[in-house]
Amino acid sequence: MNISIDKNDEELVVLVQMGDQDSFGTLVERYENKLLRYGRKFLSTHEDIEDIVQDVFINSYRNIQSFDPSLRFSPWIYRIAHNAFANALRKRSRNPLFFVDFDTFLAHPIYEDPEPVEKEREQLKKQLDVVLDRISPKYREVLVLHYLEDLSYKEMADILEVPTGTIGIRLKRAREALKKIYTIIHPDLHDNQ
Amino acid sequence: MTINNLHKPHNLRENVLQRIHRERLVMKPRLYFTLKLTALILVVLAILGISIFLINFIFFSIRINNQDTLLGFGPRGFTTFLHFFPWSWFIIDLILIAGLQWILRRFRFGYKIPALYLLAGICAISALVGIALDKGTNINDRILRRAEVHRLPAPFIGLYGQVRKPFRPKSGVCKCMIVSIDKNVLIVEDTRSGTTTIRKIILPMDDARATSTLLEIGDSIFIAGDERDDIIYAFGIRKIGDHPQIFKQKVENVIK
Repeated sequence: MNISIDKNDEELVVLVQMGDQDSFGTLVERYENKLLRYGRKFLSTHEDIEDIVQDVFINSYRNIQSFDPSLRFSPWIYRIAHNAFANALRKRSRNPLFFVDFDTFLAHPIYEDPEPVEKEREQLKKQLDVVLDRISPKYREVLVLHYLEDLSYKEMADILEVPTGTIGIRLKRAREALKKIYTIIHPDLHDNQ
Repeated sequence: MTINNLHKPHNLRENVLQRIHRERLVMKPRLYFTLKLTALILVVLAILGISIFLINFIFFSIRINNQDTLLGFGPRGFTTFLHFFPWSWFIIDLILIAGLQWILRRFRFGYKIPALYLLAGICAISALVGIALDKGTNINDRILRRAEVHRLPAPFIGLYGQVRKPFRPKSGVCKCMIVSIDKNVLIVEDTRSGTTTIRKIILPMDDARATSTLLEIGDSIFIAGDERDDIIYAFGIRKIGDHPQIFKQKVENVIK
């Protein structure tokens, strides 16, 4: 029986840092589906995702001594994954991704939306599935991280390395874009909802 | 999705662990990250130091050439000030500050601050320390004296050795010595061309920025105006060394 199963992520990292590779295997098990899902949604493709995720784990293993166990592990590994997916996106499209991001220039008021009721959340997820590949990657990633991966604004800010206020404004614009595109391609469904 | 891909996720843990064994991958030691962080901090400090030095040098260059006097000559003086401003050093400094901002955003505290605020913060720190060094200490004057007797390393001799820039002939700006005063007409000795020539200065009839009141023969003056037919029609004139250095006096008092 694997004793590392009862430990939280940060405790496992401490074990890995001391040389316990099995604990790293447990971390891989815990995050493989999350990262695969994040990659598929972020890149809107199934190609190469597993290879990229495998590289993400290898990369995180090699750099695990830089992780501070007093912080949360989840944003750290998502950050590595985000960089890897953003690189893949850069290679695929010739446009540099977010080269100058004006959203990060000024402070935006930080407000988190009141938690949407379950029905609303399901509706957003449904809309996301339909139109995700039509939304720009900049907005796609915040929608995926917040609504599909259930991450907080602060965690997202750490993953994307932007101020927390920027997450709020980006998410607001992302929802507007989502609704606009969804209304265009499914006017009937939108009216019924 | 291919059949192969469908089966892959179940093997991801084994694949990763096998790859670690097969390729004999090792964790980078903690020392590596400590050294990397130390190197990054040293780079940040070095860039900040160079940036502060450049701002200090820009202010010194303006002060030693009396260009700050132009700011007291109204809008035309301000335009002339911009014309003589050492833009090349300023642009190099801006590039350094932009680079510094980019590096700082790699740190946790860096990306949490909006980019413009971080940029403004770095500019403010560089400018305040740079100005304080020039106005509050005599470090630049000491370096200049050493540069003049060639007792400095090469880059400093090049920089400080060429800091005094005589104004070009016909530029309308000159540092001259009064030879005679006749109401609103001054005759001065002009050394801009390398040899001493006598030049006529005509002052406006009623302008506090360019008046001969309080001027005496033998005074060194700073003049800005329009130069036509070897005559300078001045829009601003001030006795050199006549402007109080309030900040410097305050700092010296604090040091005492």
